[in-house]
Amino acid sequence: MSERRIDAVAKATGAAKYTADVVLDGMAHVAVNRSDFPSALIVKIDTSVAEKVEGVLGVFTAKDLPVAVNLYGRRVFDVPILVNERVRRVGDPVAAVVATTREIAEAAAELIEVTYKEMPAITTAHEALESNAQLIHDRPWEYKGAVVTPETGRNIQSLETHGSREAAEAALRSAVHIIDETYTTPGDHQGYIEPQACIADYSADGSLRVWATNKSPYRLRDVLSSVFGLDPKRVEVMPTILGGDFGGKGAPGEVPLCTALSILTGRPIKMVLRYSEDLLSTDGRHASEIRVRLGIDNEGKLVGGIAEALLDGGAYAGFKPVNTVNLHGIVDAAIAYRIPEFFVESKIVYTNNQPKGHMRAPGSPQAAFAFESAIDELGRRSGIGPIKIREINLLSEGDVNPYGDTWLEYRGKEVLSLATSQPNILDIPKGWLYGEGVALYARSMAAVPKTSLRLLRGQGGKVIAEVPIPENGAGGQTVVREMIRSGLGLNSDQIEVKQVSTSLLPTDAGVGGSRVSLGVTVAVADAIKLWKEMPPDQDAVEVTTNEGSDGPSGAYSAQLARVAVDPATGQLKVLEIISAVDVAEIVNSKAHQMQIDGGTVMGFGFGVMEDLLEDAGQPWALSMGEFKLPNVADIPKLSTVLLHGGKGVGPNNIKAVGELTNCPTGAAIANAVADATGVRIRQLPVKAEAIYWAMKEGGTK
Amino acid sequence: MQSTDTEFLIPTSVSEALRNIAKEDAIFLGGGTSTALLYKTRMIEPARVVWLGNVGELKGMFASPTEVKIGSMVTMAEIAADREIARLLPGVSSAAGVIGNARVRAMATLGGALAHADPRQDLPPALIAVDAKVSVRGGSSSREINLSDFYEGFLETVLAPDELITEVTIPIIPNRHSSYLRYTPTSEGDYPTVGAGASLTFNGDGKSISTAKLALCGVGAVPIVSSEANLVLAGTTGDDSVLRRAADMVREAVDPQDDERGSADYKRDMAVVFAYRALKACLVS
Repeated sequence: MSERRIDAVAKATGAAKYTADVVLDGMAHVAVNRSDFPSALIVKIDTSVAEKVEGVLGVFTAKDLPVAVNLYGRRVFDVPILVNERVRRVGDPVAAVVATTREIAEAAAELIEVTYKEMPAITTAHEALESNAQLIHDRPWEYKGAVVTPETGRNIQSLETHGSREAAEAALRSAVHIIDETYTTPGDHQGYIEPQACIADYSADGSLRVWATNKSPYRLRDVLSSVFGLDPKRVEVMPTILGGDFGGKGAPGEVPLCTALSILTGRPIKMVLRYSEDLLSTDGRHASEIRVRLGIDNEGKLVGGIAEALLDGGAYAGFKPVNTVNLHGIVDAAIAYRIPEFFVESKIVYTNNQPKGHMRAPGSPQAAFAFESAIDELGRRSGIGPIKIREINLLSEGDVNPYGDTWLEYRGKEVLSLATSQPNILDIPKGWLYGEGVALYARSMAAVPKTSLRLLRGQGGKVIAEVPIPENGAGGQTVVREMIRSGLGLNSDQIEVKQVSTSLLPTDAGVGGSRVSLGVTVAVADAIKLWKEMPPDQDAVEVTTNEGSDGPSGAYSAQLARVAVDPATGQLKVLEIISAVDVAEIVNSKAHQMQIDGGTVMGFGFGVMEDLLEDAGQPWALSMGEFKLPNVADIPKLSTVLLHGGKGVGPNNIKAVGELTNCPTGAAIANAVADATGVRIRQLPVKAEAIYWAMKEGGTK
Repeated sequence: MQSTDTEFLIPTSVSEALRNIAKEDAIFLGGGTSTALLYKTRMIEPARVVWLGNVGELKGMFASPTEVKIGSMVTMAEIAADREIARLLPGVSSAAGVIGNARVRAMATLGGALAHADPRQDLPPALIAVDAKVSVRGGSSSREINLSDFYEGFLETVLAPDELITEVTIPIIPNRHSSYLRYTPTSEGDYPTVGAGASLTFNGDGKSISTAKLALCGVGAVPIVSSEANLVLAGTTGDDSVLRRAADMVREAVDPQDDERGSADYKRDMAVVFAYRALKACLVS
C-alpha cells in the first residue's frame, strides 16, 4: 500500500521552506568574482572600486580568510575557499563581496579588477598524463586525505585497480573472439531544480549554525569544524529540504566561504547560486574514456577482460567522498558477469576543467555504457547474438563474481529475460529504421550505513520520529513513516517525521549510495523494539546503528530500448524503454516506481543529450537553454516489469532502487541504434549527426 | 545588474509608445521571452523599458479573402490556436505552434519574434515563404517592408531605434500551399538545427507550379531565402526529382556555423533534406 509522501503537499503548495527561503536578522549576501581563465597566476586583485559601492560591507580575498589552511574537501582537502595565487579552472573563486543585497553584491563583484598571468592549461585527461605536462598541483600527495604518493604519477587524483593485468592479458591471448573498443562520455551535471545555496551564522562565542543544500549534514559539520578549528559540538547544521540532489549536494559547496565571511563580518551570510554559476562551479559527473577488452572461447564463455578508465577529475579531487577518492562504479564494471580473469583500472586525473564529484551511481553510467556496449558488440560480431552472449556469461547461483564475492542470489538472467519478452505495440515512423538494444546493470548493496534516530511520544498518541537525514526528494523520510506505521500498527496521520539538526542526533552517513532505506529500516527496527519495551515513565527512545554489512547481495536492472532512426538525417527517436527491475519487498510502491522512472529519464538524458560542452577549459552549457535535459515531450514511453521474490537485505527484506535504472540506459540506446542501422556509436550522448555520418561511411555493428 | 534603476513605461497607444521610445536608451518589451534572455546575458542594459502589453491596437488579428493581418503583440499561442490562420497559412500556424514550449508561446509575440532577429527563429522562414510584409511606424513616418528584406545580420534588422513593428500582412493567394518544418534532433524544446518554410502556388490547372518560395532558419546569420527554388520549380509539376533538385540548390545558399546543434557540414545536408520535405509537404497539404 502506498500513501502520500510526507513532503508532497508542502512542495506542491509552495509551503516547503528551502535554504534560499531562510532569512535571518542582519543577514548579508555574498557574490563571488570568479576566474575567467582555466589556468593563470593572480598578479593583482584591485577591490578598491567594489569597496566603494553603496551597500557593500566588505570585499575579501584569500589573504583575509580566518583559517590556518585555506583548503577544504570531502576527503582530500585540496579545494581553496578563495584562490590565493593560482587559479586552476574557469570559475575558481578569487574574491568575495559581502553586501546588504544580492544584487549589490553581484554588481560589485564585477567591479573587482583581477590581473592574471595566463599559464598553459591542461584541458583533456590525456594531456594531463603527458610526461612534460604542467603540474596542476605541485605536491598533491601533501594534501590532507590524499591517496596519491610522489610515485603514483603525474597529475593523478586517484588510481584504483582490481585483478591481475598479466593474467587478464594472458587470458585474452587465449580467446577465440576479442573485442577491443574505447567508449567516451562527457562531463555532466546533476540537473537538480534547486541551485545550491547556504547560510552560515557564526557567533562570537564560537558557535556556528549552517543552513545548506547539503545531504550529508554530519559530514559537513565535521569538515567545517576541521577547516575552522571549531568544536564539532558547536557546529550545528540545521534541517532543510532539498530541491533535488542526484549526488550533487554532498560537497560542502560554498559553506566554507560563507562561514569564513560570517566570522569576518559578524553577520549571517547567505549565498544562493545563479543556475549558470551552479553549472559552472559545482561538482558534476566525470567525463570518461574507457577502453574495454573482452575475450570469449568457442562456446561464447568469457575467458578474460580488461577495462581501463581514464576520468577527468578537473582541478580538484576534493569533491569525491570515498576513501579511495575514486568512483566505485568503474571498478565494479564487470559485477554481473562470470569472468575468470578480469582486470580493471580506474585512473582519475587533475585537469584545468571543472572539478567533478558524485552523480547518481558514481562511475556506473560511464562503466555500464562502455561494458554493456562492448559485450553487445562482441555478441554481434561473434555471431552469438547480444542476448545470448549475456545469458551465457551472467552469473548464476553459487558463482563467485570477479571481485571474489558470492551473492545470495544472481538475477541477471531473469531480468534480462523479462526485459526482452515484453509485447511491442509501438507505431514505427514510416521509412525509419527500427532497432532494439539491451543493457544490464547490477550493484552491490551489502553495506549498511551508520545512522541514528529518535522516537518520541507526541500529543494524543502520536509518535514523532526525529531523523538526521534531509529529504532530498527520493522519499527517505516517507520510508521512515511507512516502517513505523507497519511496525507499530499506526495510521500515517499518527506519525510525524522530522529532520532535526546535527546537534540533536548523534550521527548519519548522509543520503546517497542507494542505502538510505536500508539504513533507515535497520534503525527503525531497532527503535521499534525499544519503543515496545519502553516503560510508561519514559518519553523517548534513541538508537544509533553502526556500519555493517548484510548479504552479500545486490540488485539488478535490465533495460530494453526500442528506437527508430531516420535514415535521411540520422535522427534518433527512442520510442520505449522497458526496465526490468529486481525487487524483494517494496516499502512504498509509488516512491519505488518514481525512482525507476526518474532514473530511466536521467539515463535517457545521459544517453542522448546531456553534455556540459567542456572545451578548452570552458564549459559552454551555462544555462538550461544550452545544457539540455529531457523535457516532457522528449521522454519515451516508459515501461516497468518487476521481478518479484528477491532475497533482500535488512530487517525488511528490501533491495536498492535509487541508482538502478539510470545506469544501463545509454548502452541500451547505443545498442539499439546499432541494431537499427548497423552503425556503432561509442560516444555519448548519441547524436543524430554522429549516426548520420557513420551511416554515410557505412559502419559495422 | 541595473534592474533597480530601469524605468518601466506602460503606454496605451502606439503614438504614446513612440513618444516613450524616443527617450534616451529605451527599448520595447513585448512578451519578454527574447528581451529577458538578452537582458540576463547583459547584451542589453537599457535605462527604459517600454512595455507594449497595454497597447490594444497592436493585438488585432484579421483574415479576409485577400489577406491576413496580425498585430505585433499577438502571441505565438494565439496565432497557433487560430483556425483561420491554420486553414489559410498552415506553415505560419505550425511554426507558431512549435516555438520554445507552451510557456514561451503564451508570452512571445509576433513583433518580438521578428525584431529579435535571432537567425534560429522559426517564424521568419514560415512568413517569408508566404510573402509577409512588416508594417512599421516611426516618430514621423510609417513604412512597409518585405520580411525577406527585413534582416541585415545576426540580431540586426533594418528597423531604426525609434521604429515599432505594428503588424504583419500576409497576402492570401488562391492555389497556394504552404508548410513549415523544423528539425530539433536533440530535444523538442531546443532551437532548430534547421527550419524550412515553403510555399508552392499552382496555376489554374491545379498541377503546374507558378511560383515557389523557400526560406530557411538556423543556417546563416539571417533567414536564408532560396530564389533558385523558384527558378527550378516554376512551370514544372513538382515531380519528386525536381523537388530534390530545387532543394539541393539551398546547399550553396546557406552559410551555417559549427555549434552544438550540428557541424556546418551536417546543417548544410539537413537544410537540403528539410527544404525537400517542406516543399513536398506543400504538395500534399
